[in-house]
Amino acid sequence: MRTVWSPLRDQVYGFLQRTFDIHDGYELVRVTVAASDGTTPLGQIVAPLDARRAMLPGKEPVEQLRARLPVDTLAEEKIPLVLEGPIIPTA
Amino acid sequence: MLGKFPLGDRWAAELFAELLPPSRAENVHPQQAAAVASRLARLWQSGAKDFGTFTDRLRATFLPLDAAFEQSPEPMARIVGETFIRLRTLQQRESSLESDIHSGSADDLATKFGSQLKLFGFLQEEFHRTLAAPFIIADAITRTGGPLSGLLDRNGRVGSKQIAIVETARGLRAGMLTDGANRHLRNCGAHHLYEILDDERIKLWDEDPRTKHLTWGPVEWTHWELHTNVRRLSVTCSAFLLGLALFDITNGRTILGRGWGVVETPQPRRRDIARSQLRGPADDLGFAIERVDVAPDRALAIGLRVKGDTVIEQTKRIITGGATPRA
Repeated sequence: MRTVWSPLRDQVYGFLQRTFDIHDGYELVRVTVAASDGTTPLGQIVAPLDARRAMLPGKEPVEQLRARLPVDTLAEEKIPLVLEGPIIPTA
Repeated sequence: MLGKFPLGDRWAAELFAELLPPSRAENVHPQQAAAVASRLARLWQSGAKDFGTFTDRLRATFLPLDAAFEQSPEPMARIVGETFIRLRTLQQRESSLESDIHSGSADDLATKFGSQLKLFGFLQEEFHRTLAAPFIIADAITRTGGPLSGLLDRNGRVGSKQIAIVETARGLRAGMLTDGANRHLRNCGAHHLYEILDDERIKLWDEDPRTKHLTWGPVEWTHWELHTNVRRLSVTCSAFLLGLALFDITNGRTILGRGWGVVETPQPRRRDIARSQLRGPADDLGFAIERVDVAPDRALAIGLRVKGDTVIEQTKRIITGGATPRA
């Protein structure tokens, strides 16, 4: 196990990309992000369906994806992530 | 974007390399890869560790679909498309039932055992029979050459016996398509033919509804044994589901381009179901779900909180569950 740090925006866009099948019935998705204390706001995005669909291929840079969003006030900071693996079976 | 469980990603990549032609493997969308990786990670977490065998089962479900598409693309595109539409509702139901299992209190024994039996009933009657439908159609196209009409019921399902017959007829190893299917266990939950003995044990049986003669059991299982039997069918369903996913990755663009698919406007998911399904991916990406609401303008409003967890680099030992000694 180890901790890595990744840009908040990458993680939020990745979240929308990965979960597209869950919210593709909604024309608009608003995502509000708070810091780990639960109160400090870290910004929000408003993502129309077309902008979310454009995230699916995963080939465009984040800035290009951002340009499609009417609102993106996400903070320019990195968040921690605990990575697990690879898993090594015991003998 | 970084994911929490890179092993799932690696398994997905290995699976694609093993089963997809190289030209198709390059076309996998990250979202498709993530869905496959997530299902594989769930398999691992539910106790299915033999990925070699699972890959064989996946090959057995995917390759006939692909061969049938080569032979008769339009009927295959239609049945797969229709099945995907049905799966939208069924996967929501699966998530909801799994959520019931995880959220139950240890003191509520009726829910602890009953939720497992409910999930099994759903897997046996709905999920397995729906997921196998394209496979049975593919078998008819590639092997029997028989008529396709009449193979499915009005809900797009095939019979459990049909699946078993095709498994034998195609010379597949026993259980490749049917492992875990057990109509008696389904009857236990559906007709309340069980007795919870204590915190860890349950007695199960099946009987003829007319004569009341026993047709199965009684058996006495621990909760772990019940869980294991439910998971066996869940793994079988996953083999069919991932077979369909590989079919979509391989042929989806052609189907879309030729207009063979079934077009359906996605409907908004229920707020509670969406929340339940968003929890896992959010957790993988470093977030906790704080709220999921539908706003007055019908937008889906998702509140995320950065978890902020950090660890010192370390090796962790994973101890998996096992059978509980009987009292």
